[in-house]
Amino acid sequence: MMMSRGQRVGMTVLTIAVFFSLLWVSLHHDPHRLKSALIGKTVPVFQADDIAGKPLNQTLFYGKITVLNVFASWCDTCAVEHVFWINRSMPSDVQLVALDYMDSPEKAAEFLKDHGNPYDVVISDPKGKLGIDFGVYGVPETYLIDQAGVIRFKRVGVVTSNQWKQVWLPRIRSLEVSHAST
Amino acid sequence: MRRLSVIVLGVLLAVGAYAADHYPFKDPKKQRQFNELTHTFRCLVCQNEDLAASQATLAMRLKDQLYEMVNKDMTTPQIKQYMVHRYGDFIMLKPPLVPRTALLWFLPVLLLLVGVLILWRMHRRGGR
Repeated sequence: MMMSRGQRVGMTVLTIAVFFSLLWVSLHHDPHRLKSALIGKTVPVFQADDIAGKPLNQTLFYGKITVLNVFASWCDTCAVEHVFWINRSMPSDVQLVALDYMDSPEKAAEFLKDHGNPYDVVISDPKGKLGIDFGVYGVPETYLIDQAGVIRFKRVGVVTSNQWKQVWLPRIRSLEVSHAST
Repeated sequence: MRRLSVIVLGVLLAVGAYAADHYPFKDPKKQRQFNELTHTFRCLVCQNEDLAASQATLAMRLKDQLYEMVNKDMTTPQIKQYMVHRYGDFIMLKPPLVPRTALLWFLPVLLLLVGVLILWRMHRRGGR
């Protein structure tokens, strides 16, 4: 295989380019940002209590759009995110539900007393069982669930005002529209 | 070096003893199934560790869950399905061979072939 000088330079440049584009791609790829395996699936069947001890099950997620925020009183980042939820008013057809993950209901109640309670419902999950069913692997996490109880979207980490406007609101709007047209 | 290996061995044995204490099985077959399973799944928090090695809270809870499922006589494929359903293929330390992961599995062989081909051509040219 005889290569001209030009060809050889071309090959070298190409190799380096491929190598660096691989590096560039992995630089922007966060392996901790996993796509949820449950997107497009209905919420798991469950039995749990809210933090006051009232029994709940999966029907909580039927009939309304739900923003489900996974938090815990022991999670410092959640306390930061909490300010956002306190200051956010949900659209009238959206319920904000919390999943109190691997946390005692007493501690969660105390946390919500101190920091304010923006949630319509707070599900207690002291052993993280329901968390496993939702595929939770870190807190905070937030899910968008449609009126039929199907998980549509998930984000790991703190929800911010900007993200809310750019990512969450448009998705909520489109759920409202598709629901109204059926 | 020798002392180091003794320490490492001691720690490994201690971890093993801890696991056995924490998740006791009467049936050695179930014990084996449980041990194999904890080596099959990835801890999603410290991602290069299996569940057996990880001390992260999530890994602990997942091990509790595995223990419960093994005791409920669930088979290994059923348990794998349970985990993948919730956490996706990524929870398997060894990725499954599906079209989406074909490149991952075959790229090394492919690259080796390309290398051999290049060497062969260089050799032929050098021979002339």
